[in-house]
Amino acid sequence: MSAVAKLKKPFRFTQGPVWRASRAIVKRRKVQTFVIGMVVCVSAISAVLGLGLLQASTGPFEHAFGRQDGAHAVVSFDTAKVSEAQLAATGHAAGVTGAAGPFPAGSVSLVLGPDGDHAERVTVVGRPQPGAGEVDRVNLWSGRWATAPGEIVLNVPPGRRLMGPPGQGPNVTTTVTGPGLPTFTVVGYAYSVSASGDAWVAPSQIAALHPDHLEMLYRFQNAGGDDQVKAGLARATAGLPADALIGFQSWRTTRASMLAKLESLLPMLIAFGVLALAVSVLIVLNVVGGAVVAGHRDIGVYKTIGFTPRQVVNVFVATMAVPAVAGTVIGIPVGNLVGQPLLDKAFDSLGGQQGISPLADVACLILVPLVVGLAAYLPARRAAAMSANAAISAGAAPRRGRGLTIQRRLAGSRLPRSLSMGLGLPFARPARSALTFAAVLLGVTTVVFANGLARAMTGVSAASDRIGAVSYDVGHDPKTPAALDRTSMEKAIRGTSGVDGVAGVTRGMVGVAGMTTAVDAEFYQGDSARMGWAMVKGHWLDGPNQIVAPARFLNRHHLALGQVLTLELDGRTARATVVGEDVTGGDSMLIADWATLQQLDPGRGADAFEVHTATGVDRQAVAAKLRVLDPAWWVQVRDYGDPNAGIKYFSTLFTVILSLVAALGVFNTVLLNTRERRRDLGMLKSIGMTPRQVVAMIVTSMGLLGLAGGIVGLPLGYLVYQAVMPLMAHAQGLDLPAGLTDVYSAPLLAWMFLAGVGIAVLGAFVPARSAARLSISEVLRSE
Amino acid sequence: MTSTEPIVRLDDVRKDFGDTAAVDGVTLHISQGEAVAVMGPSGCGKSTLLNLVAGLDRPSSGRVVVHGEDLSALNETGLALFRRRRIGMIFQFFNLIDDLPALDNVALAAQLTGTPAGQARRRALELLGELGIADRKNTYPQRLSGGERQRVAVARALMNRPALLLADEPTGALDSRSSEQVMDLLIDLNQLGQTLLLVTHDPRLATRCASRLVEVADGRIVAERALERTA
Ligand SMILES: Nc1ncnc2c1ncn2[C@@H]1O[C@H](COP(=O)(O)OP(=O)(O)OP(=O)(O)O)[C@@H](O)[C@H]1O
Ligand SMILES: [Mg+2]
Repeated sequence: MSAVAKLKKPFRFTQGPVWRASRAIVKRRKVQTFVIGMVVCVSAISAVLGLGLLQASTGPFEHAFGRQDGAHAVVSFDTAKVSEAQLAATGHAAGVTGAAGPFPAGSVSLVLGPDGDHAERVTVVGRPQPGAGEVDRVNLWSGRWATAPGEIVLNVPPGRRLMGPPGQGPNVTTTVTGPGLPTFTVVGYAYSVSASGDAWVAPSQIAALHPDHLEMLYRFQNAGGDDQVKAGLARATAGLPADALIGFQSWRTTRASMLAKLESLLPMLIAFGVLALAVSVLIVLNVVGGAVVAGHRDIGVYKTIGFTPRQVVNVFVATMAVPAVAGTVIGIPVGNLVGQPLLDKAFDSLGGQQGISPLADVACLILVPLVVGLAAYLPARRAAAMSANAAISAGAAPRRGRGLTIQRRLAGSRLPRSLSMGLGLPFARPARSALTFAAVLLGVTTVVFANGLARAMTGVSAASDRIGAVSYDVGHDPKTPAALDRTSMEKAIRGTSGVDGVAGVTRGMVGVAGMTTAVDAEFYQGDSARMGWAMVKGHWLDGPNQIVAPARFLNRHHLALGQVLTLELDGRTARATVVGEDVTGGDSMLIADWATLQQLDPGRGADAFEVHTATGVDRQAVAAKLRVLDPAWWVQVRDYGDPNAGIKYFSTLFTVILSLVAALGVFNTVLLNTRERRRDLGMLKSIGMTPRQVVAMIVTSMGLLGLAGGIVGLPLGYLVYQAVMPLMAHAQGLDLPAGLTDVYSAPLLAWMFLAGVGIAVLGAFVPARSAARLSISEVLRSE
Repeated sequence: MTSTEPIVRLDDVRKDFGDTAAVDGVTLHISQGEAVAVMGPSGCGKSTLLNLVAGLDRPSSGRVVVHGEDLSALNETGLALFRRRRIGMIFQFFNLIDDLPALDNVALAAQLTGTPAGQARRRALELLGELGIADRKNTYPQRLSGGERQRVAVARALMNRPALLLADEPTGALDSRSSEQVMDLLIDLNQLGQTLLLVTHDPRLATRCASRLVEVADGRIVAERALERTA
């Protein structure tokens, strides 16, 4: 080979017949190329989301923990027993792979939170930088680190601001303080997955907070379980005085408590991830494969002019290259953009995720074009193996026995002919119709599943918060003298028009015979039956000495309905029977009746009241009336916001994305069908089919698939829901009463059934309209 | 001429595609019962002319009136209804629907107007019988010979008893024996009073079937003469 020939070689592909032929096809089929690009793009988006979710769902804590090089042990040492130098030396002990500290730390009362009404016990650590050392590199996600006197950084998961953002004007509360402490200005928010402190200040500032211990953070070679963490810590601290170590917190403990908040979401995330992946693969198969099949004619023509089968296959795979690459390249970043808030919401308790894992991106970058290539390669190879003539005539719809019989029956039916022809169309291309149907099916499944989930979760939290039943909580600050005592206050509330139920509530910690820790007890008086307690089993309190408790409590202590518990308070005891299981999620609480309280604490009154209002009254107006009864009593309208915003966001997002993808699949199918059948269309119009009849025919053909998608998708979505919902409830330790999980009402089902038809019509209408406008003379002219 | 008001009236009709005038100032009147053949070299605008008469294309200027209806006054739906009632068309490549057997292809034309399936099929069968292919009623187009296909297409065109039958190269894809059959068919139809407008390259088709010959070149009528039919 001469030097010139070698130089020319790289250009062979771009100038060769394969490249030219595929470029010609791309140019001629602009709409098709565009649709394929779109579909690949949307598929890439949902694949990124799906993979990203799946990836994040496998060991979400480990991901976050790994990113920060989280501490396997957060350890407190007694300042009086060890020196900082001694502690620093423990960082080099055998088995320790990394350490940070020692940091002086103190436990103080600080007023945190937007209400600023109650002080919390928090651990403040004096730390020079967020990433000091190779352990616990906290994520400083807003503002800057505390360096000067009076500055503080709070440990908050990203996006969950307690106060106004740092340095945003004088109106925003950006200071915190506590009894006997100076005032601190919040200059930043950071997040430590290791929970190494609640707030940080500069080391020079810690003295003002009366530090009482030194904090060390360790990473160990072996830290798989608590035992290994303990062993590692023992080795590292072997040389220190025995009583120097005050306490330590293993990463396993932190992990468990964080995952507890997350676990209920995981089954849903995985379900959505799988659905998204399935839809994207299906749609690509449908669209790309369909395009190749529609190109059979071209394949035949290329073969007659001398292309080898290999070259033919290459032409078609190359034709898909442009939209595949463009779609993937656009789709992946968009998927990352859409995915970020999604993951932040989902993994809120872990401080969010730093976005879709690059692994998911890389996988999509490879897999999406691969699926496209495969979807083009397989049908192209089949077509290339046909004889040229067979390929040319295969460009028209293949004729199969059963499809023909059905069309024949339809031709003789009473339906308007445009509709009966539409109904027959899907049978002309059974494989394509099946793929389209599958896409619609998954769309409907998602709609049904996501809707059910959002409703159930909303229902569960409304039931446990008793929103709607309890209109107000009324109570008073013991420090402010009240004009009305409890009894007169209750009378006054009852006397207010609009109020039709008042229940006194008193809370306290009681002992239970046989249990090692005290239990949070609520005692109810008055119209407690009105206050919306939803029961899973048994019944609400209806007599003296009865107990109702949540599932987690009952399960934890292996209790069953009918069992009698002995409650203890300051030497007095009372026996009460468990009569019901409620829907709330506590594992250390129970509810008992007023008679039980009187046995434990005779003469004790109600601390607070729950108030029920008659239906249809103006709650704010009644609240105003209650507030003027006695200003020393506060009245709060019960409305806890929407704790399920995250789930709703997910369900909505996935419903929209998957429905759109399914509609795109329909769109493409119609495009292919009408292109293949443009001669038939032209002929039909020449014999007097009106534009409306054309649209009706095409929309009917897809409506049939939509209907079928509804018929199958409805039960399928229900099954997915039935499988996922209990998993989610189980992860939270909840027993859900049937009433709360039976979220599918008949009208709702009817609507969701129509979702399939909706998706089909949405996708079919536009290409049907343009088919109706198709210039007949042009179509009939060709060939 | 058998009637005073012409069934087709083209007045100074022009059709441009971009820069080229496919039809360039054509005036042509066709009376009830006439059989007019349009001939001319390839690309001279014959099909375009036919499409204008069928309302498949709209003229760039000039007026097209068919059976008393001014086509420029009709919208797409109006044109479709017009074609349905007044026009039957046959094409060189038949344009049958491959998924339907001969009978249903023919019945289709009536079913689009809302005729019930049974009634439409009965009439279709009648027509197939008249055209001598009743025994092929259940055969799918791909298994019919070219001549048979064209006869099915003619049956379909006649289904709604059109005032005007348009044919674009009806024998262009047929061998000579099939061509003869189709020509005989057209002659018979015309003798029964069916008005015909034929476009063809084939002088035999023109001279056998037509009562008048219109010659077109470059979108213009260059000659017109009455024919003595040789049939
Ligand atoms: N839809 C169209 N778009 C653009 N140009 C067109 C269109 N239809 C026809 N033409 C042009 O108008 C001219 C006349 O075309 P037409 O099909 O009427 O010719 P014809 O006489 O029927 O030819 P043939 O005998 O080959 O069928 C040609 O130059 C053709 O290229
Ligand atoms: Mg022509």
